[in-house]
Amino acid sequence: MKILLNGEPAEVNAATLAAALEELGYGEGPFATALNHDFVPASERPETWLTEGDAIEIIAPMQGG
Amino acid sequence: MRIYDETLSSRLMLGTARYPSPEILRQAIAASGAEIVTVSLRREAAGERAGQKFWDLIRETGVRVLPNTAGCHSVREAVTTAEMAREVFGTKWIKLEVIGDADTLQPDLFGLVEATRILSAEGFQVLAYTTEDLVAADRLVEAGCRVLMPWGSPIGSARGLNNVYGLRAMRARFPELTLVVDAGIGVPSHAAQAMEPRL
Repeated sequence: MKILLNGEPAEVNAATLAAALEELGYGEGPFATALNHDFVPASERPETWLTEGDAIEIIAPMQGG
Repeated sequence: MRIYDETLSSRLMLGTARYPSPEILRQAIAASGAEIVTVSLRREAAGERAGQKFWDLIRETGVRVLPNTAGCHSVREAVTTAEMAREVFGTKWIKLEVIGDADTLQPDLFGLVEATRILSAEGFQVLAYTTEDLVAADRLVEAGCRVLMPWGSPIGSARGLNNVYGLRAMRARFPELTLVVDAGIGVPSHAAQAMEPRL
């Protein structure tokens, strides 16, 4: 199905957020996820089902101030 | 310095951006004696691993981290970013920024109060990036905020303390609260002025 990954169009076969992350090549982290602009805790990713057009955000630590 | 239930012996908060190399960042943290470094979040592509390397380096130093919601322009965006930051960094602290004006990056005080209320209810310890507005400060404290971060002047403007009277009034209004003058510091004397007992 077609999704938006960090604002860019992407295609996944996976049905859940956890499976999609694996399919897209994200490892163990550290990163956090949001689906359609709402935070999804790591523990809920396996039960978070995706639908066509979903927007997934994946963010990781970076330098800042 | 007190940040919620933590007492720190150093008042220095060190930024982690724009160092020539990770090694120099590591040395700077050690040499500074800072017990808090500020960190942020960004979108990460698969296989990039830059976030992992940076986070490993910070964890090895043993300092506390203060994540922020820089670049968030709405309550929802700021709340989601804070929730993501809590999971990634494992801290209840969040420097809460809700930007209201794209030009000056002036905080949206209405959104800031609303986001503070939501995040405090979720167990966050909010450090609110605000202006010297006393009414907004009262509302932030009512919403659960115990550390106020008033601007000296707009972010990146280097104008120093634009409203000394306003900052002094804030200090007088909240004698027990930790205040951090957070933006617009352009030269060392601006920072020194902010720390003067009689400001």
